[in-house]
Amino acid sequence: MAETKTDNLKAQIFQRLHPRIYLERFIAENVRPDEREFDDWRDLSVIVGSVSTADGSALVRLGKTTIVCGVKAEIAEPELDRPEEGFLVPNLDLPALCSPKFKPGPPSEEAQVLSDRLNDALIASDVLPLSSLCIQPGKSVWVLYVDATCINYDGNAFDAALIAMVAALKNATIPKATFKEDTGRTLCSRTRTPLSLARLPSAYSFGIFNSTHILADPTSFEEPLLDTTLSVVLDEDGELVSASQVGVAGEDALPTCIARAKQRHQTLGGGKIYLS
Amino acid sequence: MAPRADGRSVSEMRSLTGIFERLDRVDGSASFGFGETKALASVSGPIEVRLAVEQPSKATFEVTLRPLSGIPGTESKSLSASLRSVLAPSLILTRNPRTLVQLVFQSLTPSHSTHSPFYPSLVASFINASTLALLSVGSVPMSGVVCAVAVARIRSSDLNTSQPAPTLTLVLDPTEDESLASEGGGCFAFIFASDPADAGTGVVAKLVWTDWKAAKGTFDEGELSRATQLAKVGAERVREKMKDSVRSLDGSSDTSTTLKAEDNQKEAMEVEEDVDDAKMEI
Amino acid sequence: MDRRRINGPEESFAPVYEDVEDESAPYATWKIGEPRRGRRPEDIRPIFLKAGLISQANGSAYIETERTKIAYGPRQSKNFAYNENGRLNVEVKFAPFSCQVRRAPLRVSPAYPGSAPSSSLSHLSQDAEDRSIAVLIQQALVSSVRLELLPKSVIDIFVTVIECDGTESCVAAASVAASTALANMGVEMLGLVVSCVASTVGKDIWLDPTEDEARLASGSVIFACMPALGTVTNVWQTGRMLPSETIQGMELCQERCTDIHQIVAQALLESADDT
Repeated sequence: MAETKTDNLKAQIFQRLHPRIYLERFIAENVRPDEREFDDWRDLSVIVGSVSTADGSALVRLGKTTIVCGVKAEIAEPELDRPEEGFLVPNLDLPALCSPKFKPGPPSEEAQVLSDRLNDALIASDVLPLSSLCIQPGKSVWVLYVDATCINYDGNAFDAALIAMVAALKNATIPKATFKEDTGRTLCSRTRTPLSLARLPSAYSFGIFNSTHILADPTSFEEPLLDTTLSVVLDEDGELVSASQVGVAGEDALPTCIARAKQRHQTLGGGKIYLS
Repeated sequence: MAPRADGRSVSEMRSLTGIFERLDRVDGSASFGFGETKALASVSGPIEVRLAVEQPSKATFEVTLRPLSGIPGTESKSLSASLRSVLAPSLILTRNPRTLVQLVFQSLTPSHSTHSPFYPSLVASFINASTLALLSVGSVPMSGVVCAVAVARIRSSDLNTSQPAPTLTLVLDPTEDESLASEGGGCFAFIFASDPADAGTGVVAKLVWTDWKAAKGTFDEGELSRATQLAKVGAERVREKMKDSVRSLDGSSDTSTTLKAEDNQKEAMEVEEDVDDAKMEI
Repeated sequence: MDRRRINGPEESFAPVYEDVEDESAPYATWKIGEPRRGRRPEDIRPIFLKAGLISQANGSAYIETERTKIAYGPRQSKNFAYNENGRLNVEVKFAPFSCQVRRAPLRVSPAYPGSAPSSSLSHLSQDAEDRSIAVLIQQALVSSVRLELLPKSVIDIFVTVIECDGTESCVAAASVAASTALANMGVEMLGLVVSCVASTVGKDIWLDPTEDEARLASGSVIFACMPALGTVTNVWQTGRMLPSETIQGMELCQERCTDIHQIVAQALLESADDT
């Protein structure tokens, strides 16, 4: 008993001092430090509607990575060059609480990069047509603030945050609103309607270790050791919405990841992750 | 082939420009352009590093991106993080530990859209400009060169054709207007390097970056692989252009490239050595 | 304009409803003197408390009291100035969606009139409110931790409020969970700190008020103590209360704190069993 404890401690010290060699030894045995195989994913759970102060919310757990997302609807004037479009404003916060990697204060570089990628995934692929957020053209539109907060950071925050954001949007309802021409104000009634989402995308990320091994759903320990990261975004039918690769990889790496992402999508029951 | 708004065929690129800018306060600089889409890159390094970002085993590589107007926002941050990962594989940073290599981008082309200032062709010119700038510095050892080009998905009906059913076409090197009208697309970057494992094969191109996406509908693996192939051809041409530019730096005349410091004989002599190194790696 | 975040429009407002009062709200038709809705005056909301939930923190706790949900993660960080005693640093962050009105990050001016959570702390600007809450939690905890054993070090406690129903109750819940997290971390302490809130509504005293109830209250007292030692660590009274009401409220809180103390002990035992 005492011996296994000291062995554990030794392994922990080794992991901190020589992270790369530590991971290499596991990879050589065809297994990862958390006992997963290379293309194994961590368990995913999605709980929606748990935050009553938000207009829509979701709590996503991907292994130990935990992200809460809340949607808040507010009213604003549209931009002059887009009078019939509302706003969708996604942001991911990585507070100091979720990992020793992050310090308190303004958003870290990692948070900014992730927020921008999430914005890209939600806006550019037209998840929610912005025209559906129009109350009165040129006068009044909805602004949906989609704020995600990471509670526990254990890698692959992009996948977890995108699922949390889409699930929160799907869970969200907004009041029926009318613009009063005479007073210039927008009034809402207590009846609420759900948003009309055009697509329900989900993300699947991979990393390449030592130029050869493709690891699915990397943890926060694996992430900094990866040479290349790949992300595949699929819609609810498992069709490709976007595919990205950052870093050197052979020609077959991206197609392999696409195939594995589709397989995972099917295992999760297609678009059913959003049906809870 | 369906002609595009500017009369190009789908796989035709705009005229390429590669100019060594010779900015005074940096170690190396260059601009690269696809037609009107131009970007400037400057490199300083190895220079002194701030204690907070010093790395004991390799040089720190920093990338900063500046749009033509306005302050840099999250999209600048995100793009510079991507470009950092794209260019890092071409540098041998372990040679100069505890130093800093600084790369600064400046867009030279105004963007029509305030919502997405960095359209794919501009991003591609950022990458190409930085490769040229790194080559001109010579003080940062490189293991390969990174060349990039953009591809867009365009419905044929957008291309003034008489075809009744609009089909999706992939076009190389889209202009900003083409990108705005497109149904997605992306930028592709390849690293040209000799494979250390197999010296006999010569220089091979490996994909180092893509951000392919469909703004409307979906795409399949076939489309992605066609886009990759199209981009690879384009990247080869970019590489040829870079070779020309480097040759012109060397003094051998090439009228298609401008070399601002050509008349400055002394300075040209100074860089000659560096360029020789660079050429071996290209 | 915040260049570190994705920005929306320059200005946006919370929805305004045609009918000013929400008929379905629990206290829409309530009048002073009527009994409390949903529970007895001296009852508190059921507490769900779990220690050690955040794998990346040295110690952590999650607390949920019906609609108040808070997570904590203390960790040790390096300090630059030498100090013989350790320091306890508390930072509170409200998730933007945690309140009735969105808490935009970095918003300096108070929320729009009438829409702010009408509690005794809300006269402060949004950012300052986080800080004043942090001070209250810090004060409640600081005397319980044996900081003299931790020279040159700082213990950071990070609080993230996921959902808030009553600012005062939120402070109390935060103190309970922060103390739990410290114990979970293994810091030497004199005792566990637990906390409770009493508000005067009309002539009654209600414990652990919700946001709707806090709006009806004329005054409230946040009470923190270490039941194991029978000592009080922090009392924060706001609003209008008779001295006798304040004393009575504190006594009621102290009684409740004994129950909460058991819940905390139970949660810590469970987390110790897990490992």
